[in-house]
Amino acid sequence: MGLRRSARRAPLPTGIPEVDAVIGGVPRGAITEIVGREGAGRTSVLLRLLASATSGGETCAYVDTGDVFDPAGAAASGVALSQVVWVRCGGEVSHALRAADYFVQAGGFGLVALDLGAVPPCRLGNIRTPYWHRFRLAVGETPTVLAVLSAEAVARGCSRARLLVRQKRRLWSGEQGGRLFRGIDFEISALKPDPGGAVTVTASPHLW
Amino acid sequence: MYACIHLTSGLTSGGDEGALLRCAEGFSPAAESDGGQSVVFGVSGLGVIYGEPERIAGAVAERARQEGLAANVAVSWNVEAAKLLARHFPGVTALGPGETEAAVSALEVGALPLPPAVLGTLALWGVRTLGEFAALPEAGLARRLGPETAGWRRMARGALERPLVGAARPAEFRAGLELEDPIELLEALVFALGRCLSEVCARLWASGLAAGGLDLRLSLGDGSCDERLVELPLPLGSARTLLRIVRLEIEKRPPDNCVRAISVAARPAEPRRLQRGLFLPGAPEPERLELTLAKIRALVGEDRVGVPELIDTHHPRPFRLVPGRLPEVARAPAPPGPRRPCLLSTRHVSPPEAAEVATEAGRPARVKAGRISGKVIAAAGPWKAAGDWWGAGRWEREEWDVALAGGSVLRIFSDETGWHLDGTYD
Repeated sequence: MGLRRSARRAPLPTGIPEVDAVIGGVPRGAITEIVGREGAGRTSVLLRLLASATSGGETCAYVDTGDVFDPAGAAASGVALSQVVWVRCGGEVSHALRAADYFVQAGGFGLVALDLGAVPPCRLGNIRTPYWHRFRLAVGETPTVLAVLSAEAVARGCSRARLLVRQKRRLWSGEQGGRLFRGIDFEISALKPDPGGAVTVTASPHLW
Repeated sequence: MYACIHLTSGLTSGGDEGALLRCAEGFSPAAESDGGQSVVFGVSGLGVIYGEPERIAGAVAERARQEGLAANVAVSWNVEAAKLLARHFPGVTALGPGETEAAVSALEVGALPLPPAVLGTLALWGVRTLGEFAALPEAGLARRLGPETAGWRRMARGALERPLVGAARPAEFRAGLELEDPIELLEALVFALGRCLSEVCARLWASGLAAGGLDLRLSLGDGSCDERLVELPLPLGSARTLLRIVRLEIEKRPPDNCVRAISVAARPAEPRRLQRGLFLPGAPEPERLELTLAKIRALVGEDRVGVPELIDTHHPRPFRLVPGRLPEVARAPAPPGPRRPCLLSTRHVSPPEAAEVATEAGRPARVKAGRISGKVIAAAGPWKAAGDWWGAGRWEREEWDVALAGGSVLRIFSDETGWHLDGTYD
């Protein structure tokens, strides 16, 4: 019996052309971490990734640890909501991890988004390493992208890609009394697999 | 050879709607019913068991009596002859081909299912009995009354051969177990349920159907009954998958007492027929997806798993989660559209969290909500919003976008109950 050749699959574009031009998308069959502080713009990156997967006709799952998902904003970002399973975990990290595990074991999902953004960094360290090994083995050899959003890197050596999102500046217009929040400039840099140059992206809030 | 049971005085007190078919199915799986008054079924092979046709007819009559039916029973060589004899000859009749023609020849032509116009014509011709009708030349009859007359003429001679038209009756997909010793352990209960589900699924499969839902009934040790309705978003035919879903349902809400009897009934549904395109992206297997969602529902709750849906409203949170819905699968990729600008997403706080907001000159100066707190370095607002003022769900609030010194940008609002944190921009 010969050695198996790992299936080479086209990466999933992030949906942000500036980032795709640098890293070419996120790898399939692997864990991708999106890391950043609250307000840095990491959720915007995750939703663009979700939009990219659903526009490709793929079925996706959003495991929402802290009940923070905004479907209206996601739809405005281009996410086809009818292709997304949304799981609200009510702040229970263990439920979120098990739900993500069920999704990756089921197979067939284009993207499983595990949103740990509501979990304080001090509690992220309590997630046991075997979880990440299990995730890595489950998604390996499949076209599934497991995207993990968190304040700090949690998957350690089990992730194949890691994007660091940092807020550069907040954009305001007008003067005191007539001010308007115009969005933020955030910087995305790839820490894994190859540390690359940072890309600055401007994100504006959705105006209803 | 066929037997016909024809009710003479409707259903007796011991009978019921399905008694006729039950009686027929005691002898043959194929039975033809004419709407509740009579039933015909094949008895060709019963000679090995009962012997002569008279004995077969006697056995059928005895069975009808046991079912509480007051009925005539006839056995003859074809379906129509058996029906004719059972309708017009009281008691038990068993006749061969030649005997049937002789026996029915004295019956009035009205015994045949003839249209009123044909009956009127025959009356004008002076044809009153089946014997007289059968004696008319077939070609001449067909020319004057139509080609179907040939069949009626053969029927009048007791010689019309036709196959049985099976009675369409609602199929029942139910299986049950009466237990000698009550079950107290989940594993044992699941084992017993697996046997019932295998039986039900085998019947569904034989009928080309799948289960659209399950009715589960557990008779408990204290005499009470635990009834559950297991809804399935898509028809399933695999006993293994159904058993895992039922197990999750039972684990979620175990019975209060030991189980003495089990009954499982499946609501039949057309099975899924899905032809996926070669160029469509991969998608979860529907059975696995349903099972996965059932596991997650058992973990986080029924109403916390589903597909998000937007609602046509001006409410700040114009969406809902539809719990029972499955996501769309195997959809063709969308054609590339115009480049979308990157939108800044919001992370909701659910439900909005009460906040302490200090104001200066009517504008937020400091915010504290849960673990988020800080001095406001920039604020935009107030944005006045209101809606549903015509109903009980009336809402009205003033929203602010505030930037804290730590880097966060929050959406806060004040309403009649005070200040709240709605979410953060991220």
